[in-house]
Amino acid sequence: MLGTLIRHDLRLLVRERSALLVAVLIVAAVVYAVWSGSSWKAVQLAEFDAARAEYEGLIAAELSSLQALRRGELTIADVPSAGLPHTVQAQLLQPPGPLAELAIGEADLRPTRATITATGRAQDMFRFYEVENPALLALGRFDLAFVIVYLVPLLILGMSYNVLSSDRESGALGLLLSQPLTAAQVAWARIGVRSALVVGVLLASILVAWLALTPRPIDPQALPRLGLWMLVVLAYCTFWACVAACVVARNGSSDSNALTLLLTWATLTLLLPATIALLAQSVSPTPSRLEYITTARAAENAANAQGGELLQGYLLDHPEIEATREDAVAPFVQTFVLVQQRVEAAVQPVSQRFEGRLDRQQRIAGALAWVSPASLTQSALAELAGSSLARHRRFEADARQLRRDWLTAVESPLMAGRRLSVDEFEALPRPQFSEVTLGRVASVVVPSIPMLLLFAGLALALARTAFRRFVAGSTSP
Amino acid sequence: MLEAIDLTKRYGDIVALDQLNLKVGPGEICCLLGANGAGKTTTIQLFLDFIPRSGGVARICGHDVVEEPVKTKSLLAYIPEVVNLYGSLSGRENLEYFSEIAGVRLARPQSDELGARAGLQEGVLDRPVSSYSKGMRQKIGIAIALAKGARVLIMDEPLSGLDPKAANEFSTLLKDVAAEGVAALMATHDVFRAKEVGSHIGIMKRGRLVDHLPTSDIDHADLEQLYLKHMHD
Amino acid sequence: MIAAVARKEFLEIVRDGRLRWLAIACVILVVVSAASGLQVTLTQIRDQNIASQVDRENFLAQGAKNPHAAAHFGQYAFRPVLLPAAIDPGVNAYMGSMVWLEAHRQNLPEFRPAEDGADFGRAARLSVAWALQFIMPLFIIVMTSAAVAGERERGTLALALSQGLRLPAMLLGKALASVGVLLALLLPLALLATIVFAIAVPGTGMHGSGQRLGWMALGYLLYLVGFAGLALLVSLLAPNRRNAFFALVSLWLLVTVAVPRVAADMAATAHPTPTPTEFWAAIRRGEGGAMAGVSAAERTATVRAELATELLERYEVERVQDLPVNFTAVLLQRLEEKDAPVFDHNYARLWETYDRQRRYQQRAAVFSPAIAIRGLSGGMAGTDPFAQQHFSAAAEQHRRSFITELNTLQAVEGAGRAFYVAPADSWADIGLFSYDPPPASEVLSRHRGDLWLLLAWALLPLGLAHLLARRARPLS
Repeated sequence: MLGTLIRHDLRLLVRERSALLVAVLIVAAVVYAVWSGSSWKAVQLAEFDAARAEYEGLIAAELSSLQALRRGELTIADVPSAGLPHTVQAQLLQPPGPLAELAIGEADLRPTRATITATGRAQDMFRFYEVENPALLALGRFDLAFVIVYLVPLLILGMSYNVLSSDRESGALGLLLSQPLTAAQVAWARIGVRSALVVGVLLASILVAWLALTPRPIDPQALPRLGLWMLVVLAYCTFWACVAACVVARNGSSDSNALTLLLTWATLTLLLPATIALLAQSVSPTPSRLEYITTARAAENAANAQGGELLQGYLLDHPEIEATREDAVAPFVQTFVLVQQRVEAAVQPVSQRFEGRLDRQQRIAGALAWVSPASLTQSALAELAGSSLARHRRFEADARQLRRDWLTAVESPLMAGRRLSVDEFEALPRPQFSEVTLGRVASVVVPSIPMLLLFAGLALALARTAFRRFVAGSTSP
Repeated sequence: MLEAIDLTKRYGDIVALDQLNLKVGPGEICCLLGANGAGKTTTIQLFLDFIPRSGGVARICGHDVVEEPVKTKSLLAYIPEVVNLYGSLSGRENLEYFSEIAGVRLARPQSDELGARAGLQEGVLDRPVSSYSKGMRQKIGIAIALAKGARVLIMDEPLSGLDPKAANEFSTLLKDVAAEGVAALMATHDVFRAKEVGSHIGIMKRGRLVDHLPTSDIDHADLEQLYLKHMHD
Repeated sequence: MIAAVARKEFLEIVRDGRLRWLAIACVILVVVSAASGLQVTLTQIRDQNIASQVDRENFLAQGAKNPHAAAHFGQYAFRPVLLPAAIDPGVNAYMGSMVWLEAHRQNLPEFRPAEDGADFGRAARLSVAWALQFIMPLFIIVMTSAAVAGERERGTLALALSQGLRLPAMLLGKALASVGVLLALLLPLALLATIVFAIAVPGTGMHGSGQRLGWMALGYLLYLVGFAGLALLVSLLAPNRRNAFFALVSLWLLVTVAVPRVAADMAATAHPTPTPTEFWAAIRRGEGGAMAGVSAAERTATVRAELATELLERYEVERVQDLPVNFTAVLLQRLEEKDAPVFDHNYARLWETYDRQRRYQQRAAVFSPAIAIRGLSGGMAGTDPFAQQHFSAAAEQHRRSFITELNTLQAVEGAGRAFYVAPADSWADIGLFSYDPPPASEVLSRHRGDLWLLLAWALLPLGLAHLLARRARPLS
């Protein structure tokens, strides 16, 4: 019986051409989104490779001139900056995520490169990257996550809103339900067929478009992540199919179902996430950078006022460096570094407060996201893509750690005013960004799948209750 | 009065109405009988200028309906099979609205009086129309016609679906209205009602008026015979 | 007759329970967004006033110092937030809110608020502008899509036409009703705006806000009237209510979401913004300057040698120490002057790229009034990239002038000294940044195209509907 229903519905869909139209729409949107994301990622990868090559070239050149200097092949006049502890640079690069082409998220907003020197200020570590046109940033890219979170639900709802009402309006429902069938069976079979069609075309076109368009080489983590990504999409689509059933079960007219579903869509995908953001922002306002800047500058003035005394004080505290004292580094540079240390100590509490508030806002937003299937899906997809804020903050933390390690490594030669030895130069930290492990990503993402299914179950339960009260006859004169 | 001269409507090769010549004078009620697709509704739609005609003329009180659409509409009133009204508005609000777009502003006592003349019980007028029965809606339709002082009444199956009591009331009302000099054209399937209400009977078949005769000339049984004979030809 | 239709329509809308709840929801949405936007904006204005005050104090409190060290300490310039930003935060979250003015370098505005918040995703920034651009059109569609198609389906249209009602008059009446409901819904917002405007302390974030808000209001009115007209037009043409509704929802999606996004993507592809690496590399290479392609160290050496020869000749002395001016200071100033065209060139190119992208998108506005209203509204609210450029240019001008002042101080007072330390009270004579956003008229002249487009958008569907209604036989 159910098989007959499904076959019949498929035939109807083919006749109406609506299925074809929806399939074409999905394929077009997916291909465009994956292409757009992939071309963005290709630029990012090229930028990443160029930056890495440039840095490695720089370091290799410095090392060879330092070695030549130490071997006596060159003189200081030839390579004045060789091995100077305050000019040698550290760098940490954040590559685009393993699946960033599928969900760019806000990754295009954030710095991907940290540049560190002993004389650089902490707040300048990530600077000078804000080149992109804000108008384009604000709109965001048309990426696949956008297609899935916003457009696919509309298509599922648009395919399913009239599975019962169209038959009633054409008068066929009475005939249909006079067979040994319940309205619920008819509705579920049809919604099932239609959603399966949407999801099938969607997942297949994602796989094909991704394999064809993703920049090579493919990250080893990409495939398992894509698998999880598909599961999240499946759970999200299941939720929307159940929402459709929920409305269909209320036995309204096609018009009223369409309107109800449209409003449900707008509420769940547009308003609820916006409200969550508003709530999180009002409970824990986005921290302001102004305090950081003003505190840092006041501290700089205070430290500058002590000026040369700082250096004298340092040398008194560290009598051991007297033994290796040279004058390759000017005292004003040493003073500057000490002043910066003071400034950093002074802004430390402000920074911590800033990070704390950001953490708190992120926690609140994260917790509230659990009530919104759209937000939940959006963040799961970003996490899987490697475009999440969490990944970025990990990069920032790594960069800050690198900065601390770097300053420790160059401090004693710097304060002694001498050039680095070849061994010291080679021992300088040169870390690479370590990708978030698959296990960790999974531990963040996987819980959202049962949660989405829970939402789906809730809608399902509502639909069942409504179906029990379903009256096949007309509901209004 | 209402007049058609060689009125024709074609849809491509199909002739929906073939050179209709018909005249309904003041006080007359002409009932058009015929099977589905005989051209009754086409005739009515042409008099209302709802569809473009292919030939001939339709006049309301001497005015061509195509050349003077606004004038003719101020003279006629239309009662469809189901008088569709705005469900969320009350009977009175509907009556006032439709009268006002015809250029007649009704004060409350006037609409009360119209309601009473159309046979609506007191208090019904202020209920939302969504709670009305079909008969009550038809009465609002009559009230709308009365309000604008229509000289011509055009009705498309106004009696179908009414229970015998409501149909009876409607027929009586119609005869009262006609008695005041209104010309009425009514399409119907109901031979019995046609004989009872109409002053003339027109029998239509495949877009042609095949018979047109005053009801006084024939008795009921003859009419039924005549109708069936045309249907079976 | 038109009035009767409008009155009836209004009554029907008011009686429709679902529309009533939707309308209430819309008003709540708009008022909540307005209140939160206002609170955020006022906080920003206050914080910036405090910060710029503190920054001045910090600059003055540098103590005795070498003027060039003071130039490195620099000043911060804060981009003022205008009151209309409470209505439309525009792309504020994606623009740097301040710029560091220091020696040797024109910096990009930094600290974009969007970077400093949690991960909300882009769609989720509740604001009055967002509600007006996305949600209100949807409400209009729900309210108006059945206007003609629904009456035709119910049969009331036939009755009304038989009463002598002309279709154009009916459309006009319905349009009036829709716009009337719209105005009634926006009234609370207008009241709120007027009250805030009346009580806001003059001088804090005003900058012609009244005029700016007026133009915004006009823009939104045209934008929304256009949707009402479109809904009527589609309702007139569609065979039934459902088709009208689906066609309108698809158009809504196309106009407000798809076209703007795709246009932005295509603008970025057609006129790519340089990557940060490219941008700074071009500056490091000295592109646009007289000595392009020469390394920074070589450039400095050449300028130093030229300047030394020039000054020694002019003052007829043998050594730079004997010059009546501080050689280092004059050299620093000369380097600034040599670098100025490089920054001018590269920043102008960057802004030009933004503008090309904007114009490219504006062409797509023919298909999407959402692009036009975004442009106009953001421009008037001072929350579009142009606001940042205008501010950036003013800040750069100030940077050059105060760096020149510091170099001059050192050049004159530091003559004959190797290392000059200026007394602590020197900084009071150095200029401080003050900035006025462009007047509303200047912003308007940039958005004239948007305004015309919106006007056409408001009138075309209505006009077309009117024209078609005169010819249409709505029942056949």
